[in-house]
Amino acid sequence: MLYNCHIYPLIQGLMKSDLYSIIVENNRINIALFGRWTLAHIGAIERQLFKDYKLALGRKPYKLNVIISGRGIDIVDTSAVLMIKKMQIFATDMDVELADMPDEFNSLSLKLADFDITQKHPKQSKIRGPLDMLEAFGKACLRSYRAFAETPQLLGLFLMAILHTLRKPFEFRFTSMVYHIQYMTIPAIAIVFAVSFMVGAVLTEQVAWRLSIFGAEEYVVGFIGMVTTRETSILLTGMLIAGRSSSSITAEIGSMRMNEEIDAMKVIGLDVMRFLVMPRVMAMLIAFPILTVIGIFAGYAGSAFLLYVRYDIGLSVFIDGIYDGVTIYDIGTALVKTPFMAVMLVLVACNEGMKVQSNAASLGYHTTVSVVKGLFLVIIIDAIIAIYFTQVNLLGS
Amino acid sequence: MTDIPANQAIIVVENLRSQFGTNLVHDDLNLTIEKGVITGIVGGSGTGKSVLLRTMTGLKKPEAGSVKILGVNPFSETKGGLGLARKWGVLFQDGALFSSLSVLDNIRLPMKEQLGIHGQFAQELAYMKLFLVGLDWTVGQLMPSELSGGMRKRVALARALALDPEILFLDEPTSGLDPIGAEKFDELLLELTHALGISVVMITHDLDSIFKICGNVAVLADGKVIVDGKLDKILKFDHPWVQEYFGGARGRQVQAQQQNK
Ligand SMILES: Nc1ncnc2c1ncn2[C@@H]1O[C@H](COP(=O)(O)OP(=O)(O)O)[C@@H](O)[C@H]1O
Ligand SMILES: [Mg+2]
Repeated sequence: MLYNCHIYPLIQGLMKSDLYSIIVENNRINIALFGRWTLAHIGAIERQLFKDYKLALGRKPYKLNVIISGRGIDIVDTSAVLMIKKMQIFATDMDVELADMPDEFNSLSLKLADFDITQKHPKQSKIRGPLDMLEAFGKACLRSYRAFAETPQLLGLFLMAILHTLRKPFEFRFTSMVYHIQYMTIPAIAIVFAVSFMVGAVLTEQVAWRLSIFGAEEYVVGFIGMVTTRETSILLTGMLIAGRSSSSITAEIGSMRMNEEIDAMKVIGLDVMRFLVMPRVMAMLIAFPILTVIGIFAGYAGSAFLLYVRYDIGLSVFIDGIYDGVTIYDIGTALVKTPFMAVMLVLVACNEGMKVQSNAASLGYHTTVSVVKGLFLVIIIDAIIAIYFTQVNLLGS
Repeated sequence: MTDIPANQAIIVVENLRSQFGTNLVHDDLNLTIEKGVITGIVGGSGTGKSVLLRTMTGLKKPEAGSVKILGVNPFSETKGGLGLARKWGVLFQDGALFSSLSVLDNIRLPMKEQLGIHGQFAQELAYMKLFLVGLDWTVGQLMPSELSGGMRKRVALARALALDPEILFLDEPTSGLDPIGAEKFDELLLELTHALGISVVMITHDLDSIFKICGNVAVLADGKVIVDGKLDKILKFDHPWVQEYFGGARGRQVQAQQQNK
């Protein structure tokens, strides 16, 4: 083989690692395998082996013999079979000979004889172009529209359930409702109180500081009392409820869906609306105003606390201010919003829960959607009712 | 595939006590499992078969006694027995596939996370496992919720085989499959364990599986392994549950079928 040596002086070579050595000589490539040919070890050298292998094959302009010897192999697993298969396929139109492979290898490759790695598998990652983004945007718009359009249907179903309850009150699940009231109210009291207290204090500071320039900080009480009562408390409470209860209702019903519990209920003949939704709605109708009232008084407390500490306005002055500034109608405007919010929050949360499919990501998605819709609903309902009352001049001026 | 020779103990459970509150599930349980064999664990409902499996796979800490898998205690290891996670595969009763990952990604996950194998090689390996469990490559793109019961079990098996484990734990692999599906699954297990040289620990209620593929059987009753060994020994064992289970109409029928073959 003088010819080779003259023209391709680099052909003679040796590439080596822990698991293989590749010796190129004349028209043969001798590959010796040794050690533990298992996934953990192969995974580490797979790329290097193919690089070396390609290099060795690439140097030859004519037909070669490749001999793979497994004499030094200690143990093998299926990944070894895959590697050898790949090496065979890679060396197209060359003779690849296997020598001294362990018995285990042979039985494994028999089992995998029909496995075809050259099968064209679809590419997984998709490239997103501007058109895809436009499509996604359009789909999102459609989704929002549908979300809006399904509200009347939800309300209709709910009305049916109410009518049913009125006709057959004994079928109402009272225990369940009590459980939910407790669960929605008691653990929430602390957070509603804390948030309302702090926001009350901060608002008071902002307003009192500006009024104090004119020496008019006493007027802050009536003003803050009114804002706290009519707007901030209900908004804050509503948002906290959307965060706490909407998410938990959606997650609860969603995991029941994943577990086929909802399907089980249906075949047993239980009306999901009556069984799951009604008790939660009723519970929320009671829990929401309770929390709102707590929020209102926490707001007062925050305000009174700040005025006492920063502006030296005593509690009796504060209480007088509240009596003068806040009427029972103001509390009424706040509380009259709660049933609307309560019903909508729970219906939307239940509805999102019912849309959960049997995978974990969908549970997360619908829980998020439930909370986002809940927050949005709280603000929308608050705005609509506030505008309505100012327009018709119904409850207080 | 281990350095442990065939028919040596790969799992040794000694004086195991498992307890939930006052409910004593295992009391002084001893069990040794041999390498290279399919060992069936049988016992009445609620005798603690699943608890035993969870204890062996390090998911539950025993109240007393010791468990050794390939000489290692699955609990004492700091990283939750990560060393063992490369050496065993576990097939849960309902598959426990990751619902937000495609079939292919389910199989690739252990390779990527345990061994850092990714890219094309991982994909080819995953398709190879799908082939091994007898599924078409098109299944790879599906999500777990799109699979039938039998397919779920096969995919779960493929995932359990992802790292070419030395030990395979199976909790009622054929429950919920139709008899033909169950028979095919049994055949698949038998073939794979022969070809791959895996040791299998299998909880089962399926008399067909026991007679057809289990080399060894361990019977759980009264919180203990009351008898274990080859099937002939079990069949002769004098215990009311064993006699009722294997000697009942269904048991006799299966035995007769097996003898006819
Ligand atoms: N997480 C758990 N908490 C309390 N008790 C359990 C728990 N898991 C299992 N048990 C109890 O352990 C016993 C055995 O259960 P298990 O192993 O599931 O039985 P099986 O043999 O049917 O698989 C039962 O009495 C069961 O109530
Ligand atoms: Mg069980």
